[in-house]
Amino acid sequence: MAVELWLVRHGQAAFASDDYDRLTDLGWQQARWLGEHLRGMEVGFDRIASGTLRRQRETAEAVSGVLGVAPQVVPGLEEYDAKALLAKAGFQDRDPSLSRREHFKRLRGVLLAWSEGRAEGAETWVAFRERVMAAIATLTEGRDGRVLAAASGGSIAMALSTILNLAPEQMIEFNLQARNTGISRLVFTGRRVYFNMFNAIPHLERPERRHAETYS
Amino acid sequence: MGEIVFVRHGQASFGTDDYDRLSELGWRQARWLGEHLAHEGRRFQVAASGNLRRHRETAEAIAEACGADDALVLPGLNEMDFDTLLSDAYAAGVIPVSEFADSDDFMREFPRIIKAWEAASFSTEHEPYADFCARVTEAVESLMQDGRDVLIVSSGGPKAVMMRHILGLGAVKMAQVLLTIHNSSFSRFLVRNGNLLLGEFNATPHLAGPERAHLRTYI
Repeated sequence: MAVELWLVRHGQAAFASDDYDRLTDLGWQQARWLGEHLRGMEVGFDRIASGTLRRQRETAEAVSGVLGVAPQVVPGLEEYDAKALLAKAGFQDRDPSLSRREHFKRLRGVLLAWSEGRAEGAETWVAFRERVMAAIATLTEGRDGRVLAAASGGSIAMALSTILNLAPEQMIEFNLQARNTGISRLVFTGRRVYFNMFNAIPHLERPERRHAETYS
Repeated sequence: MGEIVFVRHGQASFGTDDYDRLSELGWRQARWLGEHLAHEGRRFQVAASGNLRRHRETAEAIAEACGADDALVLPGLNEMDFDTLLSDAYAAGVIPVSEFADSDDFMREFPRIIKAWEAASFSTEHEPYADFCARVTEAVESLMQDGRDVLIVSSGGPKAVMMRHILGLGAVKMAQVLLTIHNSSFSRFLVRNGNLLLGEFNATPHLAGPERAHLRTYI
C-alpha cells in the first residue's frame, strides 16, 4: 500500500477585500495552470479533494476541471482562524495601517503565542493539529494511489511539521513561505511517511508567469 | 535577501565499476536544469560544488547554459562514504545483511545505519556524524551573504544535512529526507539576516512533461 499525497495550497485569495475566502482571477488562473501542468506530466490522480473553505474548493474545482476527476470535500484541512487569533491578541484582522510584511510579522508572533497556549482562540493549537492529521489519515489510510488535496498554508505546514517532528517555530516558517498553489508532497508506504517536496511551483516557472508567483 | 539553490548531482553510474561519474541520463538531467534556470533568467554570483567527479560534471553541465560569475570547489560539500558505513555497520551487527534485497529493504535499513552512526554505536574509520554535519554546514555558511544568489552542486547527504540544520531534524528523519531527494533536483534556502529558511524542497520543474518522466530518478 502506498499513497502519494500532493498537498496544494489554494490559489491567490482576495486578501485586501471584505471576503478573503474566494479566489481572485489570478488565483483561478494559477489553479488551472497547475491542472494543465499535471495533465501534461501525465501523472494520474485517483482522487482530488479539498477542505470545506471556498478558496480550497475553488482550487480543487479548477484543477479537477482540467483533469476530469470529480472533487470531494474532506473536512479537516481548513485553515486556522487567523481573525479570531488576532482578535484574542487585541489586533484587527488585516489592519489597513499595516503593510503585508508587517501583517505577517504580527501573525508570526500571534501564532507562536498560540502554539504556547498563550493566545487561545476558538480552537487550540493541539486541536488544530489533530483535525488536520485526522483528515490526512482519511485521505491515506488503507488506500493506494495518488491523491491531490487543496488546503491552506497553515494546515499544510501543520501536516508537514507534524510528520517531521518539528518545533512550532518551523511550522510557522513553512506557513509563511507557502506560495499560492505551491505543491508539497508526502509519500505513505506501510507504516512510514516520507516528506518528499515542499512549496514547488513548476507550473509557474516560466518568465511570462512570473507575476503569478504570489504569497497572498 | 539572497538565496542558495542547492542541487543534487545528476544520475551517477550505480552498478558500474565507478559510481562517481554521471550516466548519460545524468548529463541530460543536469543540462535540462541549466537550461531551465537560464530560461528563468537566473544568474548566480557563485557556483560551488564538492570535488567529487559527479558534482563537478553536474556543475559543468549546468554552466553550459547558466553560468556563474565565480566558480569554486569546496571539499566540505563532499558526500559521506556510504559503502564504508554500510560494511562497518554490518560487521558490528547493526544491520542483518550487507546487501539489500530491494529498495524497500534499503529504505528500511538506511535510517538505522545513520542513527547508529550518529550514536557512534559501531566502530568505523569514517568521519563521525557530527563532523560530517559540521563541515557541510560550515561550507554552506561560508558562501552565505545577504543579497547574493549562490548555486551549490553536491549530493543527497549534504542536502539532507542542510535540511537538518534548517529544520532541526533528528537523524532518522534526516535519513528519510535524504532518501527522497531526486537526481538533479534543487532546493532553495533563503538567506535572511544571516539565517537560512526553507523556501522549496526537491523540485524538478525541468523534468516535467511525459517525455521527461523517465528522467525523474533517485539513483
